[in-house]
Amino acid sequence: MGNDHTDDKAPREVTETAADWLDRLASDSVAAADRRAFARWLLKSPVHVSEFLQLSALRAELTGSLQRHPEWVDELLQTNPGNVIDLTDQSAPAVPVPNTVPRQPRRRFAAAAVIAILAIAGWLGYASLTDTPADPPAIATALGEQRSILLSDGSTLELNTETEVRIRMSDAAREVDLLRGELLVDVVKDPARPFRVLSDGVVAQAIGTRFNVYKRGSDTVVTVIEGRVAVNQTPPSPDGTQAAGTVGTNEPIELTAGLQVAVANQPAAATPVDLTPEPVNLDKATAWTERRLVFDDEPLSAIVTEFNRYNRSRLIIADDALSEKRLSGVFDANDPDEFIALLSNLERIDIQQSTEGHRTLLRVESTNGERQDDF
Amino acid sequence: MTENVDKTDQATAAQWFERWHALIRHALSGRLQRKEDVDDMSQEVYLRLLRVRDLDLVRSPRSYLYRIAVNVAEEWRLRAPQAMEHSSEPLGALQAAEEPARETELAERDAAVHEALSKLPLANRTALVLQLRDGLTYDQIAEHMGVTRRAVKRYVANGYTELRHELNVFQWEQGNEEANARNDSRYGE
Repeated sequence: MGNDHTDDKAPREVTETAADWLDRLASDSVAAADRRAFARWLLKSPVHVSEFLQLSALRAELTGSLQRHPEWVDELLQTNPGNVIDLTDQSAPAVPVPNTVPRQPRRRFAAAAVIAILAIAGWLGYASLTDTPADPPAIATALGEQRSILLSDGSTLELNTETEVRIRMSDAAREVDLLRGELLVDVVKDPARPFRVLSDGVVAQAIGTRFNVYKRGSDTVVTVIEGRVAVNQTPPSPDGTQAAGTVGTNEPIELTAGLQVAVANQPAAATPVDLTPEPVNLDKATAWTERRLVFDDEPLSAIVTEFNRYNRSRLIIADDALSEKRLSGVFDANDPDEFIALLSNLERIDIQQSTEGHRTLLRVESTNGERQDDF
Repeated sequence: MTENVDKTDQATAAQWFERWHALIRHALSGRLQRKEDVDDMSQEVYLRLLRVRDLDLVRSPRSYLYRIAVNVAEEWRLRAPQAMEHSSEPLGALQAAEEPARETELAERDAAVHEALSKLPLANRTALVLQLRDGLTYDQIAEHMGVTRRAVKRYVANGYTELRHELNVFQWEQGNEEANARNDSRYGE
């Protein structure tokens, strides 16, 4: 079977046009003129309607399978060397093949809505991979996007929202520059090649382990989930770039599972910094991989900052007292409404929505001193 | 109104599509086994679209289309003569019931997709993978493959056509082999 397409009512032009519409409408900026043209095209023939509906389903199946199986891609494309995206870095024989894969979104078909973001990020990533070999590929995620990267040694990087990394694999070491954002590393053991994450003078070195590195404004937080990680600081080298693998100015401290340490980025040279590991809730530290946000008695200002890492429509707290209010809870990172609903049960708040969809939260001062509390 | 579709519209289209797709897979697959039925259903969707006044003024024609498809599919499901006893279950229950079996079902579908993709001519496969996985535009794919944009469109369309016959997206439940077997007998008629 398969070649007998005689009962196929849709001529190839229709299939082509339907595929074209499917692709154009998947982007999140569809011009009004395009929408009208699409409507007119649909109304021309039931064959168009049928074709568009069928290809929608087919595309969803294909996209889902491809996202679940990044490992297919090499096999599917590699058969003809001319079509392989060449990631070979001539300067390093053991080359990373960052098999960048958009994480499967939790809501399967909400994928359509973010395809544009993935498309841009995917293309940027792809474009940068084909750059000169001197530049290690930089891989970035857009706002709200998360993505897994499988390295050539089998280790994986999970990139959180708004994250950018540069990966260098060589015979001597495996190094990831965390330029911004947060990543969770699952390291495959290789004693001959230490695995390091470098973030503005903070070095986290692992041998067979799983750990999270979050580069915040002024510091970097390293959390160990399994195994051990040595954390250290290095001074910036004179040319401003980070010296790979430099031994730090301080004695490295060793973190074991369940411990976390926050290290200032780019400390003043030769100033030893006290690195005190603290125990941490591991479930909380890795919750982001499931797009969950876990808060344990944290100020609203910090909570809102976390939500804003994932959502284009921002939350703003325009009230000092309110921003210091503390709250605990577990939320879906993409659903700030849930958080606002909870908050409005605890506090009398007023929500002002801007035209861009940003929401400002204000506390409503009660007029008679009576506070409307939980109900 | 602005030139750009707002987010709500996009979300709605995605949600309606999800419902429609779930219905197609779970309800129609067992009952509307013949392609003619699918065509009849599309015809019905089309007729209802025609009745919409000024479809081009609708903020998201795509979302509207899926919504109508959901309605038609629901009605057909209820009406189907060979409908099973649970056919009147609300869709919510239907989707919830999906969860436990989802892993194996996904694995089977993925295996079928993989096999079908592997059978495609390389050019068709490459164009589809670059479009769907990497989100490249036709122009970018054309540049990457060193062919014209026109050729890329043809690769993608041919890829879809082959895959549709290979996979029969409307009959996932039966598993690929059974679906193929049914097709064969049908073609032999």
